[in-house]
Amino acid sequence: MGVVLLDSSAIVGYIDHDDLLHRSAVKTIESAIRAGSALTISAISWAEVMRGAFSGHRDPAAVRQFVVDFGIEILPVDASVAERAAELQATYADRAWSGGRRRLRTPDTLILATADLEADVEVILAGDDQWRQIRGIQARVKLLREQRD
Amino acid sequence: MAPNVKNTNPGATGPAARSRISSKHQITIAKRPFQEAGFHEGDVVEVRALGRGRVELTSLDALFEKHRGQIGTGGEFGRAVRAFRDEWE
Repeated sequence: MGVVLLDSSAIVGYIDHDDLLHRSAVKTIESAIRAGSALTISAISWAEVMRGAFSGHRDPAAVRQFVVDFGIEILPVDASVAERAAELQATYADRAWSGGRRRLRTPDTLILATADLEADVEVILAGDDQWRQIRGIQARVKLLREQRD
Repeated sequence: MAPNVKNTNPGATGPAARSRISSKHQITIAKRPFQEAGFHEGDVVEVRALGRGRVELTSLDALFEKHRGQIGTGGEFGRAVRAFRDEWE
């Protein structure tokens, strides 16, 4: 694995032992780090996770420390990312692509566009199975699986 | 190596030891700090520069233990984050 981009669900899944993605996130993230992969996240995911932290789910300082300790780079949303996101959103504006489940949301497209334009990102680690249906993204979507006790 | 260098780091647990950086950027960690840090042969460590002339080695296992599953929210944290994204629906 080269550079791995973590979606918000992967970060929360790793730090919250009650999360349904926890075991899958632990296994996949730790394997990636041991294999020498660098980790990144989109600023969009960072906003979502920190909003959760500020809402009382986790000490914000501890979440920041997670990012620092693992050397996770936070990738910004710039004009190129916004334009690529707009292209994706237009392509997937219709619910039909997902079997009528839902549209591709703006944060989804901004995160996917970030991974697409960051040449070093090889894998997107996410919990949303719809992302695997998106075509034309240079990074591969690896799905975290829910595991119940 | 010259052991028993005076410890000037308040975070350190024992005296410092010295090692020379090889042409391949390799160093040997002296037995005492190696043991005191709880390192084992085969450990993978993260190496971080802390400024000019200082690096920090941290065992990956220690980092994993520090952050892995450190909270239990009954899944509320994940549900909240998913709800933030669904606001865009």
